[in-house]
Amino acid sequence: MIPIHHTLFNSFLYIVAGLFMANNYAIGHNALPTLTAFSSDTLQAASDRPGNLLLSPTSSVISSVQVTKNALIKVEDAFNGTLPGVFSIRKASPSYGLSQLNFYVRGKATLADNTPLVYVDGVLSNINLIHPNEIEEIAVIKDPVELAAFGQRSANGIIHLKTKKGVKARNFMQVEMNAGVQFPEYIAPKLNAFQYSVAHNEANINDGTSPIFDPSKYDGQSDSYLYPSTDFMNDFLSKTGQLTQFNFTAGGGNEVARYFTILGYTRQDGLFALPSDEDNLNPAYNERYNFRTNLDVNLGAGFYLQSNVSAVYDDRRSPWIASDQTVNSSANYIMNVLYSTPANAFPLVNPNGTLGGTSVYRNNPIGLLSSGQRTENTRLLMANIQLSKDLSALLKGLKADVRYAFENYNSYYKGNYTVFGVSQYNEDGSYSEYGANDTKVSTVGGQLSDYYSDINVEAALRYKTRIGNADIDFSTSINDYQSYVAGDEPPYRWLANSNHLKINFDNTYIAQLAATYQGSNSYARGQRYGFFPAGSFAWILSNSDILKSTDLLNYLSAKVSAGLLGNDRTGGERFMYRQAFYNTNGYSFGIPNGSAQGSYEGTLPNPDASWEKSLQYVLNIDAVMFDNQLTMNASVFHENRFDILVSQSNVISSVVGNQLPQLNAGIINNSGVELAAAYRTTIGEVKLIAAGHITYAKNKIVDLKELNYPVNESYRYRKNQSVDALFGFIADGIYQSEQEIQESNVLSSFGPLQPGDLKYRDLNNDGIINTADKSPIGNLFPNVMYGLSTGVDYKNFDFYFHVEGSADFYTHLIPTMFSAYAFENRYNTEQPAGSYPRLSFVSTHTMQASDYWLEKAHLIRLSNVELGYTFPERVTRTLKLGGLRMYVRGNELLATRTQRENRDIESSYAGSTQYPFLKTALLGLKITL
Amino acid sequence: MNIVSKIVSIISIFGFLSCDSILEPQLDGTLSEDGIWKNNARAFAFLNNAYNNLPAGYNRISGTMLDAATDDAVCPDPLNPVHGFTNGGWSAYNIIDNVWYRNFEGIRKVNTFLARIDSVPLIKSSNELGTDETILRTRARMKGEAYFLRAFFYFELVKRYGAVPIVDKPLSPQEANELQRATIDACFQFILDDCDSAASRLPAKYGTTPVVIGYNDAKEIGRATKGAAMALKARALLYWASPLFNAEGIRSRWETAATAAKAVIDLTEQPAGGAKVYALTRYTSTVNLNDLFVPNSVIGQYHSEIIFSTLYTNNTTVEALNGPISYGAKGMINPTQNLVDAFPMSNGRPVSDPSSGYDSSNPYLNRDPRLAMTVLTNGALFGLNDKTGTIETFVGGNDARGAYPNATHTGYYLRKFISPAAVWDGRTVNITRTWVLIRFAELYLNYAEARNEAFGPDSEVYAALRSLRLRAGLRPSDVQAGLTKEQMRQLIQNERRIELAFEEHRFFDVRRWRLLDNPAFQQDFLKIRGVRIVKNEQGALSYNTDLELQQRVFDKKMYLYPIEASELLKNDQLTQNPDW
Repeated sequence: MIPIHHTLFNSFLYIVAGLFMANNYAIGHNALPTLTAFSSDTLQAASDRPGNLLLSPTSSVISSVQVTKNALIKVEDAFNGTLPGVFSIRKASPSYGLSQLNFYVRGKATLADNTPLVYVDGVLSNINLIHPNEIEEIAVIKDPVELAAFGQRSANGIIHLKTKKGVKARNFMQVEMNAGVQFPEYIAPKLNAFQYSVAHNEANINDGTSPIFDPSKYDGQSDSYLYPSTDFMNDFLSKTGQLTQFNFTAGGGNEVARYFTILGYTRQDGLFALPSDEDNLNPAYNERYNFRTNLDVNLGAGFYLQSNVSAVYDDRRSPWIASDQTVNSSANYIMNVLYSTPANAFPLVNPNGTLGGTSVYRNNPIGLLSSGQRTENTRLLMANIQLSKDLSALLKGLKADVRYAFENYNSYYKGNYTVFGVSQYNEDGSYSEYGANDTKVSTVGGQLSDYYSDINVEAALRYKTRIGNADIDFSTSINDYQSYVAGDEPPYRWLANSNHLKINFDNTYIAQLAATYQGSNSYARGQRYGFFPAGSFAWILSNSDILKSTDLLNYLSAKVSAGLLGNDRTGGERFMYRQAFYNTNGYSFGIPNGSAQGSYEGTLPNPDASWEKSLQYVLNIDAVMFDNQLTMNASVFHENRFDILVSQSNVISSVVGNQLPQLNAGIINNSGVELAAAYRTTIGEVKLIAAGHITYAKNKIVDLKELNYPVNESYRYRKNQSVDALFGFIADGIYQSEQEIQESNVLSSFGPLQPGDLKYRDLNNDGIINTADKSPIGNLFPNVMYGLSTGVDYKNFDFYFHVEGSADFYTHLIPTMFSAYAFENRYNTEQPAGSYPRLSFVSTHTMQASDYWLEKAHLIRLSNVELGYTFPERVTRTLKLGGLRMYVRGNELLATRTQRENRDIESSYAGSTQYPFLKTALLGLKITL
Repeated sequence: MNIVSKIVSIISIFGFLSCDSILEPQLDGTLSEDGIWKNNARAFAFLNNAYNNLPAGYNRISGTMLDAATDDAVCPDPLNPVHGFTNGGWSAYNIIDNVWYRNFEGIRKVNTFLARIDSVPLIKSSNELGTDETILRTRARMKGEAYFLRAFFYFELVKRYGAVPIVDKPLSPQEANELQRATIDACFQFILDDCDSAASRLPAKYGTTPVVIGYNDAKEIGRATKGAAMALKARALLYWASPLFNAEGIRSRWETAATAAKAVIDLTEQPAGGAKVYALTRYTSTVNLNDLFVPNSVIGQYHSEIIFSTLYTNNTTVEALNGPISYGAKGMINPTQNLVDAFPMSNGRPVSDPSSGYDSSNPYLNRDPRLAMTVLTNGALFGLNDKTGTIETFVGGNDARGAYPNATHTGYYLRKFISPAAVWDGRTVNITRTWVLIRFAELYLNYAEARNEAFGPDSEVYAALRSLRLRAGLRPSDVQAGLTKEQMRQLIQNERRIELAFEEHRFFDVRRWRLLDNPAFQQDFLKIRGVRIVKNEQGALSYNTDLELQQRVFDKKMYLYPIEASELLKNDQLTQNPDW
């Protein structure tokens, strides 16, 4: 299993087997005889999944090889277009030591949480801290029959990670090391001091106030203390950061016991730097230690024990900003200071050696980066113990499993910091001080910032028999899941009974039925439980008499599934069903600030509050052709999500006098097509494998209980639009003159109009530009997602690359008034052809969402490229090694960017007011002992 | 046992799952209905909470004041939503001063309290609230407060929107969608009835009288009183008699309004007589108008002119927002030349009167003392934020319009409400203050106005006006004798404008008087003027008091607020105000 003796080629087949054979597993282990050879472990795993996951995996799967290539430091980062049907979108706020991706299965179907739940070895888990090398495979579960087992929590799909296990008689020890250099993908260009002073003056004039700078002083000749020019981005950001990883794995065992163990170390450095006195820098980095041991023990007498235990220690650091700023937000705070502080704001150091600053700009980065350290320590302990017993003695074909899983997460922060003041150097040689230096070290210590503890107990019975020429599998389980969270919120609890029946008639017709009865403690008595049925029918045409399998068409099957699923991550108040009262918010009578007690009625209740329901239908066709060289899968899916929580404030008059509960009344449809194919061939000594997939998913709002808009404002409805449709103004260019403003005869509710302002269309012709003129201007979530992976093996060399893409969406460029791009293209009287609106400190007119800021997007990203060399056996033998492979890897090297301003298509802020995304070049060595 | 029955028996062990009680969540720190309505202290606390729905007070409109939407002031911040009132941007989609929900929320709190309070069980034994007897007395008094608050919330709505739906019980969401606007007369009647219900249950004073009613001690000052309920009634009657709400011109409404105002002026601490509850304080070198809002050591905290005010807070926001810019403040509201011109000379004569002695080259000399208490003019000595100096609004002066966007546009800054003791830069000296919702001087003005309308300018009218001017430092004889009813009306309207400036009266007064029907008035009201002061090389100042700053927009529909468009879409029984 662990690729000890593997070549890249057959490990890649393993990937593809999982990737594209998904549906076939559901139908039967013999469905694809030639490819199962590569993925027998996966199949083994599939049937071993207990409880919730004892159902067959109708899913897309990727294996450990692809996970470790694509997941640079976080497992989630491997979802970057590698999994068919998974839409991955970069997060708006990147940082070091964090996953960069949000992910969704087959698009979106609700206004609430659309993300899938992630399970590890059958248990809902936090994968944020798992080491990529712990993972054997990642499966995306999309079939309603399988999802039904998750009841109220199933409708968004499930991603399941399986960790590695020992295999008997395949003992190994392996050390992998790699070191990388990371480069910011993009650092936004800034105005220099001269340009900023010009821009600032121009904005002052536009705003009707007086200019305050003399740009001619920024010629390099004047006193650089009074007329400073500081390149903050260059001075305080390193050009490169470092990434270091090391892991040791070992595994093996015998008939009785098998083990897999990993020790991992990962370190990623932040990019912050000091121009001098670098020793004073409070470093920014993330270090993580991973430990896992998975044991399988055959206890005899039909008892079988599996114990998966892992522990993580994570240490994240940043310069200290404030108690309420996490390491992540501190990094982005500093980035924002570097980007948003004008180049002429202050000299870094004054003539008298004090730190420069003004009453407005007090964040001198030297002070920020050297006055304190924030440390966040996270400990995660996961244990997953399962005992199985063969009950054939009681009833032939009967097995029982019991599992106890436990996960405990603690995150603490501490801070040590001093306080720094800044001084402004005045023209007359005096100083104005803002804040005072306080070298006394203050300590904030040991605050628990996040906590949860989950306990999952599950028991399952499985029964297999054969009646006539039908194989029958029946299984049933109960699952009790409890999650204790920080604060005085009661723990979450779900109880479920899941049942699954599969009848396989001659490997030709396969019918499956699933039924789950599940309840949670977040709803009213009588409303807590739901019934979640699903069924499917598959026909393996290539096993039938009509169409016998041939070398040309090795396999062909068709399958339809349908089910009723749920999503309880609806947001809003948790115990919406009951009227809560609160014993706070009093009033002061008498003596100033004397207080009289208060009490009040909370949001009105919705006694019928429930989870979202989802009817899902899937049609699947699988084919294997050309002597098993080409595998193909096509799916058509449709989802009808209803009972989505919607606000009643659009339908109930506020005369009611209290906050209104949400109602389960929204409806959204989501449908699409998913295609995947993999091809492998051997030409002489070249082995090639290529796999690609593309998903189209489009959602449409059917009903959200919106306001009834007047007939001439029907464009305001979200109905018939997609969930991520952006509503904004339609801009017809820029007002060129006062006369043009007069002629347009509109007022703006965002302030008086001037030439150089965007010319918004008054859609309802009422003479005022306001919210009522906003219409859908573009969909911000891609409707199309695709990925392409290719691997080539030639002699001892192996080469791999992965490309992901998303299309059919718009990107929203966040307006930044004093950017280099704005400066170059701005409208002013000298530059009336300027395509960018006029500069202003006060006007918010042009900053409103409008199609001016939208750009049609098509993202293509070279996510991963790797060249490896496996040393020949004679070399490794002389070195007394089991194997030796070297590789160079590049992550996120190339991507399309926005046409204007060259920004990241998915995160407009990255590299300007937020931390940048990073490219990585990595050199690695894997030694098998 | 066959396979099927085995499977069935296995499934049956899961039967426990259907038991709801396993999934009963623990408590999470919130209270149930019983937690409030079976506990007298928490039930009383429920009404305390409703006081939070009273008007928010100073700089309520995004950092400026409602008076910036009248001819008394402008807001220098070009993006402040208050400009919507005067530049035509105001609409059913662009709601400014949105108090609709705030007051209906308050009304729901009061209605819930009134519906539940009588069924809160008594305890049969003494506890920290006292005996059952004291609880019952407190309950009666708090019902009085509840009626007062409901009347207050309704009046806030009616003076803006005209007729609104009448709600006298906690509504279900469905009921809220089926309401219609009552008639305007029914709305006023509802307010008057609530004022009567309140007045009959409330004490004339808290704190100074012996404990005769539960909770009756100094800690309770600030709760509604009998006088507050009567004064609110007098104010409501005055509005009801005014042209905007009295289209038929029913004269008897003025009579009733005059009687109600007089009843407050004459109110005594005991029903049988005794000391008057309220008295006008004469201004001296140490006591002036601003002591109402910021208690000083001479007057003490509970000014005898305060009839009802919001809670006392400690802060420097009023100073930091409204003070002059060279003192580190933001100057968020600038009094206009229009307002400055409305203050008479210290001999009581208007500046437009050639015999008044007004000197256009020294325009702030010998003016009504209230001008200096209300407006900071150029050259005024002033201290604030640890800085002492003179106000410089002449061209090029420290407080004049220049690089700072918020420097005064009119040449004036606000003086009223501002305490020179406030400091916020470097060190902090907070100011204890209250926002006065009803004060005694208004009752004199209400009385004079209603009496003049009902009976003409008789001696009672003169007496009321003279009382006000006397305490302000003018002589009684400064009120010119022998005025006609119309002249007296104008004098009262002007007196009301300068006495109550920046206290959110002018905006509603010009509307209820329908003054904007008069083209001449409308022209003055919409043309906003400031002063341009030029200092020559010798240091002499010249004043241009006709500096036009804004030409504002008014339409007759703006006599009333538009109801937010979405409210009408949600409840099609609601109708919009005319022409919105």
